[in-house]
Amino acid sequence: MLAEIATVLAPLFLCAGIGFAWARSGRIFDAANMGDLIAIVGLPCLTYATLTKLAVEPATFVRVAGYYLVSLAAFGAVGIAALRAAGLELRTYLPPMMFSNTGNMGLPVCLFAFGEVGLALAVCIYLTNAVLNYVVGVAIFAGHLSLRSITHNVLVWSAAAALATVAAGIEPPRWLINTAVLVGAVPIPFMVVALGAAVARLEISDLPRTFALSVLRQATGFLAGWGTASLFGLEGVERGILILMSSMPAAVVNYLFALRHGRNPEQVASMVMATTLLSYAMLPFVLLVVLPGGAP
Amino acid sequence: MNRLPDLLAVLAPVYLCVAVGYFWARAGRGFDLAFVTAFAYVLGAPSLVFSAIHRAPLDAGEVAGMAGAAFLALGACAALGVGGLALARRNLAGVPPLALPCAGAMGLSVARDAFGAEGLALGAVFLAVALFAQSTLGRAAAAARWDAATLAGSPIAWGVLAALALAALPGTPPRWALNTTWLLGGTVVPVALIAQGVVLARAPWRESLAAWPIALGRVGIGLAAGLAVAAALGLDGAARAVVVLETAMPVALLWALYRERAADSDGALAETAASIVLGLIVLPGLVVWLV
Repeated sequence: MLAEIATVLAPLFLCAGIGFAWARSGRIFDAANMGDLIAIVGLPCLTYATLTKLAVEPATFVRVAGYYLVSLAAFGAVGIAALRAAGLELRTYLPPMMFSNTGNMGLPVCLFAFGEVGLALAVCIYLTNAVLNYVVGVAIFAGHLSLRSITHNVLVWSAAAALATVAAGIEPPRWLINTAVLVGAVPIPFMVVALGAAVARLEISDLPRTFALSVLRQATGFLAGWGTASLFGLEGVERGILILMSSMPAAVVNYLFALRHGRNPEQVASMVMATTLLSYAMLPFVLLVVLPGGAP
Repeated sequence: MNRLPDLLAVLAPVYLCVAVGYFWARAGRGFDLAFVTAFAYVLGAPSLVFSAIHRAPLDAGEVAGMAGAAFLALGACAALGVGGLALARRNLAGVPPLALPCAGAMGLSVARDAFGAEGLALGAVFLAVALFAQSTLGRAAAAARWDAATLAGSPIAWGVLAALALAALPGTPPRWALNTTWLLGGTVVPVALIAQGVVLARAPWRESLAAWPIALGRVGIGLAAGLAVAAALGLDGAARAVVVLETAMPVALLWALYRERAADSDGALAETAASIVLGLIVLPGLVVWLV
């Protein structure tokens, strides 16, 4: 079991360590431009290639996304209650409490824990979380809702195209699949290394409060995922993916949104940093629960 | 290979990736060539060499055979380059772009999509030798400094050397090592192809007249050298295709990068870009013929 867990986590830790060392060495790590290229070209290719290769039916997509929404609603509600009770501003703290790093961290963990089937289901959750983060998350920071980020998002279109291809029973042409697979190989390794580089630049302020919120977030995330999986009687890969994705830390992109809308970016950065470190520490235990042969 | 769907399956990834890079740069979006190449060649290339050799798998003899063929092919390019420049009474400073092909982009992509895991592994071994030559001799030539620090100072050279050595160790490596290297290795080809597209968009085409003879020389000399070495060694199938394709590739991205600080940096960029255009023109013919 220990060897299994090490096999899943080693790529994540090694790559993030490389990114961390790269950024700390003072060398240029151009996360901004490559991040754009990955968001506009890389991730849509990965999404299309994965969803069509594993022939993910629209019904499967909706079901898996639905499980995640239930889990998200549960840990989000706890987050809102806790922030209210502590008298903290929802506009700053709610998005990092609700929207997780299902991309940089979630996709590779699910890939290595459950192979390509795991990656395909993880992509469904990743898309759901990303759309919510870009629409609801940004709306919370900005104070108004904009749907442009859905209709102008290549990622959403690539997912729609993939689901339509599968639903229609069409075999995508090989030139398209080969290209999507080739370009789709860039996002995951780059994002894992970039996560390490991003963490190297963030700093934690207000340690006690940040730490308390982060522990609460990570604990409720895991419990919400586990509870939702039990509620619906999920097993195997679906259960594992739901619990893993619910246990992910706050998404780095929340920091960028907070920066853009002037909502205490340093507080959000602290949350991102602390939850990421916590999730590195708790992942071995989460894997113990979700890997085949692990605890029930 | 002559059926259109087969051809498209092998060629489309190359042209589409180059197009992504070209239009990305034309749209005015940023692309830090130095950072991206460092990512792909320092982290990606050694990982690709290690994981592709194990995934195929190639045995030590096959690795040594391809490394030897690559060494001979690059040496033949350098010799033909020296001869050609001497005949044309040109400065021998022009040898590196003639002798250094970009082995991590078009040729490697075709090798993978046409010959699967074996093609990718053979191409990765060729890439290791090419990157080693580029980041030692090419780097020294670009800086015109032939001291030990310049020759041995690139992490790319050490990375690919270490990867070849580790891949030659007997036994199966742990799965976490294969997982990690396979993940990082997957970035090399798409990133190099996109970078070639960016070079096309940024090249100083107005002053590129002097670049075309070098570009023609690169592809022509590469073809001749690759064919000669493949014939001399009696290669066939994937090995022959890899040696000929990889030797005939456009001028290495690293050459343009190493020359960035030189007075005539535009010249190196134009040579690289012109040879990428030629590469894109001859690639379909080469694939029909070799695959």
